[in-house]
This record gives sequence, C-alpha cells and structure tokens, in this order.
Amino acid sequence: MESREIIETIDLNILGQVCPACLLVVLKALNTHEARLRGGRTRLLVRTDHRDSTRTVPESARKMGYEVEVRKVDGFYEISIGSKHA
Amino acid sequence: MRRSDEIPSGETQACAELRTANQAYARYIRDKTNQLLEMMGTRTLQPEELDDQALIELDPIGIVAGSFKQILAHLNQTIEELRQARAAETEQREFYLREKLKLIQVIESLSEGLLVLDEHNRIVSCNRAADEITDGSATEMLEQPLEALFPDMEPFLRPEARDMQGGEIRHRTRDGRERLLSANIGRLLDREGQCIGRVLTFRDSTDEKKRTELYHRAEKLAAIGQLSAGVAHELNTPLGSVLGYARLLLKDRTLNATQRAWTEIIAEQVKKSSAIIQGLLRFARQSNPAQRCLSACRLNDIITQTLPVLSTELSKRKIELVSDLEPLPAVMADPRELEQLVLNLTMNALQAIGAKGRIEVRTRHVGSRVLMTVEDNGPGIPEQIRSRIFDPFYTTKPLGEGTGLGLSICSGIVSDLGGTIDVASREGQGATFIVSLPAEQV
Repeated sequence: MESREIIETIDLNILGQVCPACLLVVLKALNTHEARLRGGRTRLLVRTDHRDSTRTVPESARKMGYEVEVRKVDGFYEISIGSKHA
Repeated sequence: MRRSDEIPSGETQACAELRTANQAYARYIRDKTNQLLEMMGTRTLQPEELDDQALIELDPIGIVAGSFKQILAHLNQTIEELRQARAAETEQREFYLREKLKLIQVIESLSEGLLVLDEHNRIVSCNRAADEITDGSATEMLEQPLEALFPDMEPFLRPEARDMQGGEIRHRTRDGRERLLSANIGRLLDREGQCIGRVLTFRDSTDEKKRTELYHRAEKLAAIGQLSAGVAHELNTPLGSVLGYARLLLKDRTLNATQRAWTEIIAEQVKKSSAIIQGLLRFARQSNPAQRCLSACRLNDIITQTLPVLSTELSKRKIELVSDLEPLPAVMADPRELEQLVLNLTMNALQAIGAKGRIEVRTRHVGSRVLMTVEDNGPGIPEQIRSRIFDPFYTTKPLGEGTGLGLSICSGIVSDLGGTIDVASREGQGATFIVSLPAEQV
C-alpha cells in the first residue's frame, strides 16, 4: 500500500483532566475530525497526565479502527491516533 | 398591589415542575452515560466533576453514539476485508487445486517411471509408468523402503549419497525376466534446504542397450568389411600373377611328375583363395555394384534351376531335398544374387546336416511379401551363437573348411533388396532360415 506522509497534527491538550471526562473529550475530537483522520494524512495528538487515559483512550480508538501509539514524555503522556493505513 | 419581583404562585409552581423535570432528564442522561462508560471500561461520571448543566452541554450520549457509529463502520469494514480475504483464499485454493491436478496429469502422462520417497526412503507415491515398468510392483510397495523394490539402489539412498543421473540398475520382473533400468535420483529439499525425501525417475533401457550394442557391432562389421574389401582387392593382382605363372609352368613339358603335381596344387589353392576373395568383395558390396542388374525375378524358377546344382553333393550322402513352392508374385532382384542366396542357404543346411537328413525349401506369398524358408533337420543352432551367424568370418566349421562368409553374403543380398532374414532353431531339432522379400507391386 502506498505510504502517505503525515502533514497535519491536531493537538488536544487535556492535561489536568481525569476520566471519564478525558475519554469523552477525546471521543468527541475523534468524531469531529473523523474524515481527516481516516484520510491518513492527519493525526490527533492527545497530551494527558491521567494514567487511566493511556488505557481507556487507546482501547476505544482501536475499536474504532484507528492506529494508536502511546509514549511517555517528561511528566505526561502523548497518545497519537491516526489511520491504520497511513 | 403586587411587587414587581414577586412571582405569581402559579408560575412558581410551573418553574418548580420544570426544574424537577430537567433534573429527572439530567439524571436519566447521567445514568445512561454511566452505563455506556462502564461498557467502555472507564469509571462513571462524578456530579462534582460535571454538574447537570455541563453534562447536557457536553452531550455525552451524542459523543458515545458517534463513537459507536465509528466502531460499527470499522466492524463492517473488517467484515468486508474478511470476506474479500476469504474470497481470495478460495480463489487461491482453487488455483492450487487446478495446478495440482495439472501436475498430477503431467506426472501420470510421463513415459518415465516416477517414485517419490519420504525422508526414510519409503515409497510414498508412484505414477502409471512406474507401475507399468515394474509390472504393478511399485503400487504394491507403497509405504515400503525403496530397497525392497530396487535392491541395487541402496548405495544411492545413504545419507551422504549425492544425486545420481543416468545410473543403471537391474530389476527382475515377476516372470523372472531381468530388465535394465536407467535411473535418476535427486533429493527433495524444503525451504530451509533440509532433505525431506527423494524423487526417483527411471525407464526401461533394456531394448535401447541391445540396440546400442547391435549398432556398435554393425559399425565394427562395416569397418571389417571395408578393410577386408581393401585387402582382398590388393590380393587379387598378385594372386592372378601366381595363377598365371602356375599355368605357364604346367605347360612346361620338362617338369617331372612331382613338380607338375606341386604346381597343380599351387594353381588349385590360388583358385580357392580367389573364391574367398570374391566372397569378401561381394560381402563388402564392392565387387561390381554397377553390374547388379535388377529385374522382375520368379523366385520359384530360380529355386528350380539352382537346386539341381547340388545333386552331386546330395547323392554322395543320404540327404533328401524337397521343395514345396506356391505360386508367387515377382520380386525385383538380381537373378544371380537370388541364385547365390538359394545356393548358400541350401549349402549351409546341407553342411549342417552332415551325412543323413532332410532339407525342405518352401515358398509362400503373404500379403505384400514373398517368403522363402529353408528347413533342415540337422543339429540346430545353439542359442548363444544364433545372433552371430550372419557376422562375416563367423563359422562353426573346423579351421580351413569354411570362410564364414556364406550367411553374411545372404544377409547382405536380402537387406539390399529391402528384405529380412531370420533363423528359428531348437537345439537338436534342426534350423529354419526365413527370408522375406518385398513382392513387386503390380
């Protein structure tokens, strides 16, 4: 499959928020930007310091068919969500 | 009079009812949202985190519904991908089945026998040709070690043995015949290069081997023929001189009786030598090919004219010569060569019989061929020399009594005419020479 370059990142800063609000906010963003994210050239980059989110967000996003990467950056987490076929 | 900020009691009641209803809706939304959040594996909403107003503004059910919509779309996509994968798999399976069937048909149509062995050198499959060559033994030996079928293969099956091309193995058929097989054996390797078995192909090369031997013998005979013809040709001139001078000497009246006798012996021996040389030249077909004169010959007439030549010889012994001649079509041949053929075969029978016996010359018309058989009741021809009797210089007679050219000249004449000559014999029960010549097309 042709590999497409990621040229756009949507930042979602939910530092200080806890579940389930974190999850609902991320899900809302995923619904809002679905078309762009599915297109494969845009990724949603969530910054959170709530540890539970690193479990609930990826689980839900993967069920929707997104590819999710989680990495720890200094005092918070970055959850990158995008199309599987990017 | 009523104060301006005073709310009529009826309106207060309506507001209270609406507030209660709103609270009930918010509770309902919160409950349902909590149920959905639980399903999603996260904790429930806390009123202190999100009051009713904020809850309604956030629209959590709408968010979760949107997420479920995406999950459903993803599920449908996965199902479609699975369906396509399954269809591709089915197509691939059908392709492999088709290819497998093709391969089976190719293997079955091979004229070479094919055996597949497992890693323990047991036969796991064989083709039709393998069964034909081994009289069905290949199928019977399935699951058995290959050595049980071909003991000669044992050295090629050892773990260190390399692949083999064109090896010769012997195989004894059910009826006890020994067949020579030409075989190739190669290792079957898996993707990692590990030996997982062997494949053996073989064909029956018995007849081919015989043909090769015959061909080599024919080549050797041709070389002998050419060499003999050269030598014979060179000897003709000096022999002519010896004979000429011997004749001159015989005219000399001063010779005494002993000298005359010796000279006569010289002349006689030179004539014999000359006859041998003529036979050699005739065998090599270099005597006088231009003088061969083909015409429509009546074989029966030639036999009738030739046999009386032997009457003197026959009368010396107790040999009965009978002929049984059927009406025949003509054959295109040189009549002198046919005479030679009849004479040589009859003389051969006569010499084989010895003192007493019977010779029968028969002719028959079969299809487009004319057959002549010369049968005697002599001692017959032993099987081991039967294939050599048409070779030049091959004779069973004592040294000096035969040249070994009579039958080879017959063979040469017959083959030049497009015919065949064969012999049937059983030891102690005589021999029959069968000559088949093409009849002239009318």
